[in-house]
Amino acid sequence: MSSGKTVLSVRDLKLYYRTRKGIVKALEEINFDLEKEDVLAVVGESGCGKSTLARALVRVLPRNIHTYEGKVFLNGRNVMELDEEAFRREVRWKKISIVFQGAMNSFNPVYKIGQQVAEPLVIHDNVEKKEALKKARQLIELMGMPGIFAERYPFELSGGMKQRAAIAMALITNPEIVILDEPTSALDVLTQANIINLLKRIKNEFRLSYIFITHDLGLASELANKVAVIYAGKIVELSSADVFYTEPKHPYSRGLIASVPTLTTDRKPEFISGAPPSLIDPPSGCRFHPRCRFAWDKCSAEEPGMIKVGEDHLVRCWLYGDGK
Amino acid sequence: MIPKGFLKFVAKRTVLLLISLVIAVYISILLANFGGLIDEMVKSDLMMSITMNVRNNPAYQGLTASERQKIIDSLYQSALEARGLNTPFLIRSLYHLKNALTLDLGTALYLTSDSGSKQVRLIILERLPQTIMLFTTVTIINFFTNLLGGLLIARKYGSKIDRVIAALAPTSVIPGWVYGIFLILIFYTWLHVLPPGGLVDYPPPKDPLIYFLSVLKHMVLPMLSWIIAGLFLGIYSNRTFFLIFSTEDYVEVAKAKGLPPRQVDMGYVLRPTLPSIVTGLSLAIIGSWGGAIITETVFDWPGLGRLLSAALSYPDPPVIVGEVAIYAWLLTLTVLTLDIVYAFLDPRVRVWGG
Amino acid sequence: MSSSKRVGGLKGVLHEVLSYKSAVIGVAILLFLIVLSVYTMVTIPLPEAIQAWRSSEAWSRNPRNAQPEWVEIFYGKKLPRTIIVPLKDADATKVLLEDGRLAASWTVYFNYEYDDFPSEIVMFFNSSYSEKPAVEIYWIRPDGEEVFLKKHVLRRPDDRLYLSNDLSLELRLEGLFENKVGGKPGFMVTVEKGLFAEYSLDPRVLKGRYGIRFEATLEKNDVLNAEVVIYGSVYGLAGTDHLRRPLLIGLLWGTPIAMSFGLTSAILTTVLSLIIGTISGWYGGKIDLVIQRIVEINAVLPFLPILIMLTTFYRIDLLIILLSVVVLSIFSLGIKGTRILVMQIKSYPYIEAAQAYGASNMRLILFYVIPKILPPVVPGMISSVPGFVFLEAGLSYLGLGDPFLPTWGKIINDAQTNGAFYKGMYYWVLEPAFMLILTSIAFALIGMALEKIVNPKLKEL
Repeated sequence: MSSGKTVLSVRDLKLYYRTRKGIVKALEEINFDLEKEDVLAVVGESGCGKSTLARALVRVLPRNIHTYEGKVFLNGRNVMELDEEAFRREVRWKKISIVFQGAMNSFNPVYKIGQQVAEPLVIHDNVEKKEALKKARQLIELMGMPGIFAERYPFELSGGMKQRAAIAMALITNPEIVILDEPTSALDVLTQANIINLLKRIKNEFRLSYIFITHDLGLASELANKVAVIYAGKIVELSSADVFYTEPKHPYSRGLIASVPTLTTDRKPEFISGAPPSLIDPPSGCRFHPRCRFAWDKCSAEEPGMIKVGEDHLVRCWLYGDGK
Repeated sequence: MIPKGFLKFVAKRTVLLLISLVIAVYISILLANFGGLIDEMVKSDLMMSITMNVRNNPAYQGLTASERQKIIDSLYQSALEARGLNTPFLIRSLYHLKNALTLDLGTALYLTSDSGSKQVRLIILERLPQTIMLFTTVTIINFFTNLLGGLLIARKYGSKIDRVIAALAPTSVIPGWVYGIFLILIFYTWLHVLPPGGLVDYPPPKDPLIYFLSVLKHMVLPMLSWIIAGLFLGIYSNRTFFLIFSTEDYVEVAKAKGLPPRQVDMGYVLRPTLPSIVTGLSLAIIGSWGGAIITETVFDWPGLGRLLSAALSYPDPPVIVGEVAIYAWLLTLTVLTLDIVYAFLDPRVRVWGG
Repeated sequence: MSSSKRVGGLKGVLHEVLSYKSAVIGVAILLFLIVLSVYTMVTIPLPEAIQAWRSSEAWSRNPRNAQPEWVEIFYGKKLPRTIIVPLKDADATKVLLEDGRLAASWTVYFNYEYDDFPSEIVMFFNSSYSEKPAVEIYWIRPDGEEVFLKKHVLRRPDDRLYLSNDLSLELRLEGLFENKVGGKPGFMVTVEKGLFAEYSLDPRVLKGRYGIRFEATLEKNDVLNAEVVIYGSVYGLAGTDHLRRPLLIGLLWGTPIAMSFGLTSAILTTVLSLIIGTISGWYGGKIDLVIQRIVEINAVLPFLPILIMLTTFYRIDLLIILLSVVVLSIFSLGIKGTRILVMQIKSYPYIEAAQAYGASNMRLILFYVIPKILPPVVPGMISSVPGFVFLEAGLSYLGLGDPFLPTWGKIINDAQTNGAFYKGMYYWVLEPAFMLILTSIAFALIGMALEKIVNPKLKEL
């Protein structure tokens, strides 16, 4: 599945932003590696920071940004050191592209679809407009839509069509990594399945790596070979998909798995009590401890680091570290 | 090159608006003729011209006064019939309607054009260019000032100047002519720097360049009063639009795509906002035709508005009715232009045919 | 339950409105204007006001085009108020002559302590006689000097003597001045200056006790009464206009007129517009199409020219003007917004549910639709009041509008027609303009605050 070559290496990524009520610690201690043709599923509840991570990787920062630090190695090079203009020219879309949540509003309503899909080619690769439009049309057809749709405006397309167009747009400059931020959450189940199949196909065809952000564990299991669980702005578990789905270690991960209704067994879905914590004033120690069944004194006193529990399996939980 | 949907839209709107124009002028005629005023206007006008014709006609020179009178009377009667003035009220009004639409409104009672003619159509058309000149110049200046101002202030969101503009927004509730009065008090009565009104210095300069500059000098205060009236609210609402539109998802997508900041601002913030801006602008423009009448009066600017207030002081009914008709025409053209501009900016309108 | 929620909502809204500084200012101004209106309507009932505004006799003792009294702060000197010296207060002497007539003489005194000259001097007679008496008038300066003014034969019992326009008197006084000063003075010797100035080359007021003596030979039953009015150059809180009317009355009465016109037009227009928009959106179909067409036609109907045409051709009062304005305004483009909103609401499930239990259209519209579409419309309504106030002012400025009512626009019109801009009579223009601006800013501030509340998206911005 993965070819062993590391395309993306994130070390200690941190992002805080300022609000009237205080500083939101949106992301902290984000560490992971992505190899070629990996699909890393990033799962978590709403508001845990998954979408912030997506934006942080392409440096699309909010106006009220406070802290943005860490190291992001792209094919060995730390792109956090690049200035805005260099980052724009070299990284955005050329190396990493992104398909946003709810492609409903990903397109400028006054420009045609084809023009917007072709735009990155014109900007980054200096391709002539006509050529770029031709390529855009080809990609759109590859996505399973008639090429004539390139001449349409966004409001003339359905949600599923727009999503396909957004994917086409994300591929046009042949990036290595595509971040998919909840690409199917606004679509019906049938369209969802179609899109997932499409994503599988093009990953193999174009040899892409995905970062697939979702709250839907079942969906993630379709594509992913690696899973990262985010809670309250921190990664709490990082492992291969097989291991994760059979033996989740972190109490939160276990809670997530247990909450998915199953078709074949009689097990009733469980829920995780409590609500996600405030990121302005997160709980002391382990951020999950107020909702954790297994919490004890150490959990509220000290924050655990990522503890290795197996081959490529890290968990941020005292249950697996210094012992009870 | 021009999409068919667009042409279809333009054609449809033009037809619909022309129909609205006809109906609007018809309503005006009905209102004006309630007391039979227009009938009298037309009839007396007719009588005057026939009498004059007969008196000056050499063929009738040798006749006695009473014989001539008989000719006049019979000509008058047949003229009445020809113009349908013997018909019931509603049908008569249709004849008046046709005349009003073409500004064929006979002669004025008191007013004259600068060329000496008493023909209502000439009087009105003579004043038209001055109004257009003032109005369109101000509109263009307003549009660009408010647009650029809105963009600039949106960038400085939360700063002191942003709050100052917001606090000054209520000043736009005061119409231009009130500002005009203040400006005259300041720049003429107090400082004696600018003229209190009129088109050009008196006596008018012979040199075309100096004439042109003199006209410009007289345009300063009227334009300034209009600009100030719309300024703060215009900048404030545009800035609000830009702020709202710059939080749209597709703006983030554009940034993520690696588009240069300039292009993001122009293509993804400004461009999609233009339809909303134009909508706000349309309401302002359509409203300011009315305000222009009073502004022109304040500044004694020789345009349609000044003509109307002069006409009402006598009163001179043919001119007044003619003014109503020409303003209806101007409004129709304005609405049509704005509709076309809007269709050009918002593809949804084009595709769905309005 | 719903009614208490509405009241609670209102209190909450009021609380929120007052949290905006701008709205507080607006509400304060509004309250002031309301108090002013009520005060005016109570102390000067409208019929009296109109009558007074139209009469000239009522103001005969006021100076013409007088500035407000407080301008003297800017000049730094005491400006003259009007002094009325009635003859009844005079020291009178009467001597009986052999032919039975009376040789009478009255002398009245008054103090003049102002730093500037009066604007006008008029003598109002009020007498009865069998034969027109001849009156000799003498002027006594504070330094004791007597100046013979005129010998005037009364033309009628209520005759008036306008000293200021008397050219021969002026020339005489000028000659007198030149003699006393020994040359031509550095200013134009008007009657007022001639009577009140020190004998010097610069115009300086001679302050002190002045006297006027009237001498006349009367028949036995004749009565001679007079009043000398020495007009000041300032009057009252707001000054006077060209007809000597106190501008304060116009300013005061303009307030309730402007407010009621503005509010009534705004409320009527908004409510009727709302109803039409609702009908259009609810019933759809043919009714909708017809209303849409009417809106289009209304868009090209020239509002102000038609209004001008109506007021010029027909004699109409403020009420008819108001109704015409409302009729021309209700088919505005705002209906489009209401219509869309209503169409959206109509498709809501709870409407379907209500229809299922048999609710009539009327009931649905009144209790389900209107409460939803009313709140967003209120800020716009408040914000539209200034527009109507200025519309009425504009019409009055053009000389249309109700010719009998004293309104702010009419005052500005009077000012411009009577050369206020040329003669620098700032107060005449600025006072009504100030009232107009005050009123509209109040409503604008409140309207904008309300808009922020109703449209939460704007709150953060």
